[in-house]
Amino acid sequence: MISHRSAAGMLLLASALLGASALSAPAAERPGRAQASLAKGKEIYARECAACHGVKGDGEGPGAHIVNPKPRNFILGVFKLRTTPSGQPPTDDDLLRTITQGIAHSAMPSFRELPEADRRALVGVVRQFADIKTAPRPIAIPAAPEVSAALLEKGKTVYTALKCQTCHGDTGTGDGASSLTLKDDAKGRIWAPDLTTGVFKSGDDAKALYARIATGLDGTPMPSYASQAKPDEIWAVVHYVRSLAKR
Amino acid sequence: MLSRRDMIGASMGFAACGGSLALAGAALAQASSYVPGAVIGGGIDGIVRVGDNLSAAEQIIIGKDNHICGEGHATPDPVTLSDERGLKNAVVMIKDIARGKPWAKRERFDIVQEKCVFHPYIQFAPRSFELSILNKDPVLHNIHAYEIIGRARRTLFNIAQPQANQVDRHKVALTRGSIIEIDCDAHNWMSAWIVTSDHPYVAVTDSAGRFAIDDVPAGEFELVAWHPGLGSMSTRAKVASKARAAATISFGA
Repeated sequence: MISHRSAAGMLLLASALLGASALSAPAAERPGRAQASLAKGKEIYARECAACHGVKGDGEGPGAHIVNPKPRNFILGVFKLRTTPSGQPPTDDDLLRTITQGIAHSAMPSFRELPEADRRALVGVVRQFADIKTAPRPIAIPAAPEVSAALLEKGKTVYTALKCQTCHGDTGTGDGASSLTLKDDAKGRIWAPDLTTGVFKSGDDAKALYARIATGLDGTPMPSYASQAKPDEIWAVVHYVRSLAKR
Repeated sequence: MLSRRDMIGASMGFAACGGSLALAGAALAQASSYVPGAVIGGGIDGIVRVGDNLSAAEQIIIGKDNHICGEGHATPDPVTLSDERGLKNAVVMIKDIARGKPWAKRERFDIVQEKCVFHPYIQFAPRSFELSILNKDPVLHNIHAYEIIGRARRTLFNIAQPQANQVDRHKVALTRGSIIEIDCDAHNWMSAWIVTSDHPYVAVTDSAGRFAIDDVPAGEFELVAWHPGLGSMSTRAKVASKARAAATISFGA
């Protein structure tokens, strides 16, 4: 998706050329509420999102070639930012959160200025592109523990035990031995992020970081640790990683 | 420049034809509703061969965890040939066979990571099954499975296994493709494949490139061979009741 506020002129032109008509829902005599929302979502999508994500939702919009990482191909149904187990589609709230917040380290901007009803309508469009027909269940995320020196020390120990350093490096700067050879689903070059910047794809929210570690980022090399780490261990790593940030 | 693996992806979606390299999505397209029953049929004994005009396979330096993974180079998708140029580890499948012998579907399959190699390298399975995954190495492996859909691949699951002797079980159900690619992002030379089928008439070639498919109903069939490093090739086989048909599938001249 690309912001109508922040987009380059070329993308805006491309979006305008695509026009709302390309994605207009077929007229229905008496559409139900869901159908009306979907139709509205398609209009918004054509205006705000198709320049990057493409009219068909395949990530091949006219502006896709100038952004890195490439826009998501919704048709494949693989999403990075989820609260659902690896391999499962995201929840509606996951999609809404991404549309609302955008994704750091990428061209995906925040669409916070759109009314929530419009953002929810876009969720419906993405679901339709990705053929998500179920209501995916999120993982349980227990309450966060109090941050303490002992917790951070535990987090450092668990970070090493889980071998996070293989990609993220001993100090979290993204210089692990495997970081040099990582590829995404499309076999494009990808690097383990530098955790010390304090900038994370889904923001600095601790629960979001918990979900990233527990469920992984599908479409990237970041795997799910849900079966290999206990909730208290994941929480310890979350707070250790946050403590690495050079604020 | 395309790697051999990229070529496989690029060739997907094209039907096998006239001796050219082709493959997978279309070539391995299968009947969706197999009907099992009594068969008084024959069998197919065959060999998959490779010609002389084969380019060198991609090699990757084993550049990490050498105390476990060994030294030197590894080939993710090796083209292993016998003295008679028979191809090991090709999956051979009858295309579009809708009825035939009884099929006791296996529900669980295994894959083991040992010394930074997947075992087995290639296997076949029904379209839905449970995969049991064991890491024998005291290093981080992440088993990353993809569904191959035409030129694209989509993550099916990606699970970290940071400790030795850990086991995960994951239910797999393909919805769009028929081939599963498995790799380890931490060790980029590790590779494994699972080819799914809607019927039991599938085999994997042995070290001599040979295969046998039994209890085939009488009739004429298209036989497709697929190898991750080469793509697919097909031939036709005519099977008579209570007889063995011979088949040769050749990649290249």
